[in-house]
Amino acid sequence: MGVMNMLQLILAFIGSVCAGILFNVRMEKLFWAGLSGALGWITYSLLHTATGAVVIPIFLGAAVVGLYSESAARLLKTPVTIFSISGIFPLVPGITAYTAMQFLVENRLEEAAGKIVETLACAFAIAFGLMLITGIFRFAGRLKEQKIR
Amino acid sequence: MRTLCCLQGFVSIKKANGECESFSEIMRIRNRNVNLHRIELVNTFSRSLKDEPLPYEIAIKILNEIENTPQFKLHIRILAAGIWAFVFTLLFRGMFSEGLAAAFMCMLAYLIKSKISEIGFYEFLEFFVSGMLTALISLLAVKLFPQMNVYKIIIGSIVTFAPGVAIANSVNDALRGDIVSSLAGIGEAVLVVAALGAGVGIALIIGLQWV
Repeated sequence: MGVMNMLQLILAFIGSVCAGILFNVRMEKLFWAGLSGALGWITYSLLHTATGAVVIPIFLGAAVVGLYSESAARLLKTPVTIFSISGIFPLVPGITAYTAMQFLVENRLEEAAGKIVETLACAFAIAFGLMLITGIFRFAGRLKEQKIR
Repeated sequence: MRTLCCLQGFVSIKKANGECESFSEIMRIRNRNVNLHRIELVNTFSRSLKDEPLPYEIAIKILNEIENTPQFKLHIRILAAGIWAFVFTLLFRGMFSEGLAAAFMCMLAYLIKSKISEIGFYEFLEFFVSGMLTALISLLAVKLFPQMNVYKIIIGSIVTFAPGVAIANSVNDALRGDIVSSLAGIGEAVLVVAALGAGVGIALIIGLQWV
């Protein structure tokens, strides 16, 4: 891992801690929320620089965030949402949506359409990534329950 | 995931002497925000409710207490918004100076927006006004330091208001089958983006001729 990646990891961690503060996560869980964001972002960033794609790295980043937050939620006895929301914060397509609107205002309609599609694709990638992991965890839980019976 | 935006809608079922009575309370929600600590508290509360049912009055009292749990102080939130703007600008390959400018602008915009919402105003007008002010001040900054890029500063300073989490969450809700809440979320996110974009766009159209 190079210096740039290390820097990005630290920046993403700080950013997610700030997101946690803005979303009012309690003090003692801020560190874990920040770690979630850092892991998700570094996955996205490494894959994005390696392949140049956008949607699949976001999907895998969201999957990593989901994996982390499901395990952390079980270990720390906290709802999953606390880690997953702060974790997807750096990946989320808020600025893409805003750029689409800016292109619309500037009458650059084709670029705007491209950005809108990109926003939707990123949102779906994040949702599918989180959901895949949640689904696997739920399924495993159900299986365990049935075995106990 | 609905609890993210609306907390006050609450239905409770009381069991007394084996009879089932149901109370439902419906409220109109004016202020929506994301408050993860409240989610945690409501989550633990509803789990404890499953184990031992409480009378309606006590349950409502506990929920009101949860609603009034303290948030982070305003200056800490402003600082966090500023740091996030700085980090975002650096993550998306902006210059150091642009990051600093974006952080300053973002803190200013956050302060203005929270002051406006304290006074009480239409929610979308808040976004419109804060977007417009941010763009105007960014134009001023670029006028003073011409080596910076206006768009990068504006994007960095507006990133805390952009409803990215809302969009991702709504899609997540839709995939889980909560269609109504997902459509409401997407609608709100589109309106917020439109308000922000319109504010910034108008300021840029006026300002770029002057710069």
